Amino acid sequence: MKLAFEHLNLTQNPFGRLNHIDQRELAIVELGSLPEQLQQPGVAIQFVADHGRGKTTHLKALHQKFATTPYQQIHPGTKAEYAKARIHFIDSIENLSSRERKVLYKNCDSLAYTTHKNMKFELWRNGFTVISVKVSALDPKTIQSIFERRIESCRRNTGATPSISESDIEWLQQQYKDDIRSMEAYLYDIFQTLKTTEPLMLNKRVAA
Amino acid sequence: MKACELHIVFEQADKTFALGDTLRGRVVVDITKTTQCNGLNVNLFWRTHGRGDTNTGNEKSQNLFTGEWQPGHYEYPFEYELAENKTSYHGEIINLDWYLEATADVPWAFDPNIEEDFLLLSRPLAEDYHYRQRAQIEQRKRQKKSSSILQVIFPFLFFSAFAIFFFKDTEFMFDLFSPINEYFDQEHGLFISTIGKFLDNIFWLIPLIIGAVMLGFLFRYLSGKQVEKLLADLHVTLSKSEYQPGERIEATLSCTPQRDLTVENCYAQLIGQEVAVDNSGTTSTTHKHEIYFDEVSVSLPQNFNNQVPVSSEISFEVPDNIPASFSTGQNSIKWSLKLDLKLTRWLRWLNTTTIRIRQKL
Repeated sequence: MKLAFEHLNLTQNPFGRLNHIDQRELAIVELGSLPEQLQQPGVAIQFVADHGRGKTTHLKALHQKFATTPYQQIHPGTKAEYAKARIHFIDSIENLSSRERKVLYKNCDSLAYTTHKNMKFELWRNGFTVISVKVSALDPKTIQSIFERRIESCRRNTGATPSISESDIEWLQQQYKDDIRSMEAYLYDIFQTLKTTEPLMLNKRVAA
Repeated sequence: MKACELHIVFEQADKTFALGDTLRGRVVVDITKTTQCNGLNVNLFWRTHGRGDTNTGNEKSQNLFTGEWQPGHYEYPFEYELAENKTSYHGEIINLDWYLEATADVPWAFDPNIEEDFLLLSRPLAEDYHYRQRAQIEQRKRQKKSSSILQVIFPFLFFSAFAIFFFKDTEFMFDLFSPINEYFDQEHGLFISTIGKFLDNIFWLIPLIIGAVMLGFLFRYLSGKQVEKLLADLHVTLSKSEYQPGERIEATLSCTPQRDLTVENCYAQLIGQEVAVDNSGTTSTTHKHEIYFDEVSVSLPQNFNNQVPVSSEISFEVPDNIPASFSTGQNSIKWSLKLDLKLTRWLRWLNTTTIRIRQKL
């Protein structure tokens, strides 16, 4: 038995869960003026997208600018408890019942949340100015950087590690569009089978 | 060069240890300018990695130094008894590794730290067990897939025939089948609208499919209950509550038939599975991966006689290099004994008993 992924000069599969690694090292998120806008009372920032596009990553990146404010991830069926705070961060707001959401709107000045469905009109009705951010990573360079950071965060020593080329990204985008989580799941399986640090060449791999 | 740089040097260069060994090494500190250190700590722990959320445990920390460092080279020895019975494991969706982390608490600065992994084994493993039985596992998966398709198709056909028979004169059935009739009726020639209408109606098939799947489950449940009724006191008993790699799992299947019966076949399966839960983003996904599969035919008399108790021994060899059961929050390795007893094609009893495989010491 050898050390994990020693043959790839890595410490683990870089496309597995990396929640022991500082997410700031991995995330590539352009927040622009969102932190300043969230400081304004009555502002709601929604990150809207399908599964696996990076909504939570965006919300967490924004939350880092407001480290002392409460952050809640809402799973279906979980009961939300709101701490007293001016700004709230809610991951998956649609998992709250409409009654719970009303309590939330009454108890905060500003709000940042992720959602699969557009909640803009509901927030408007409750007196918020809504800034809607559609999360999608379609730029191949951005996707390549995200994946390179993952690989780099698992580097064992100096020297070569497997790398993902532009043509690999192109191929992944053809298969999964902007669904980064599905790309990562696919790459996880590929990295499980890699024997050396040679180029991935995903298109040829499938053809073979 | 940084003001403070840390390195971990293991006394054993291959970084491979056995349970019960003493891990010895030193933390090497290189200082380029005077640095206050509120604590140089070394921490031993295990952590999982793979598809599921990471879990850590068994943290054991030692303080090696507190004070002021002048520029220079320092070495601080440490040692740990490796008595914990969790060994390194490298699977397909779950891995468990041991780590040593050294951190210097430097006020008003980022704390320099370094982490090194090492292997903790119960004995040298010749090969990665999770690849060993891949062919057999793949074959079983194919069988499972085809049998699960059959489980849906048969109730679906049955349910459809039932629905057509009882609702054949209703408007719904007319709507459902009239587009098909129209399609074959050349005089109408409304090809596109016909297809559109058919697609509209095809959504009515969804409750039919759901009904068929539910019927399949109900059928399996009732079939199991009927077998339990026919074979009173039907149960599987394990000889021990936990086993060790290299031992044999001994179990007994026993029952008392309530009438004369014929047995078609009976199989016992020993299954090892990795289960990892991934709570990334807004969804929670459970991943499963089979790491071990073995099947034996249970020798039973072909004919059961009324009120004559039946008992049969089931025996599996637990290979010497399989991973032990473990459960660490979102990651676990589960072992189970599955029994599949078929009286006829439609009377089937499925039973799963969890087995605990203990770490070999």
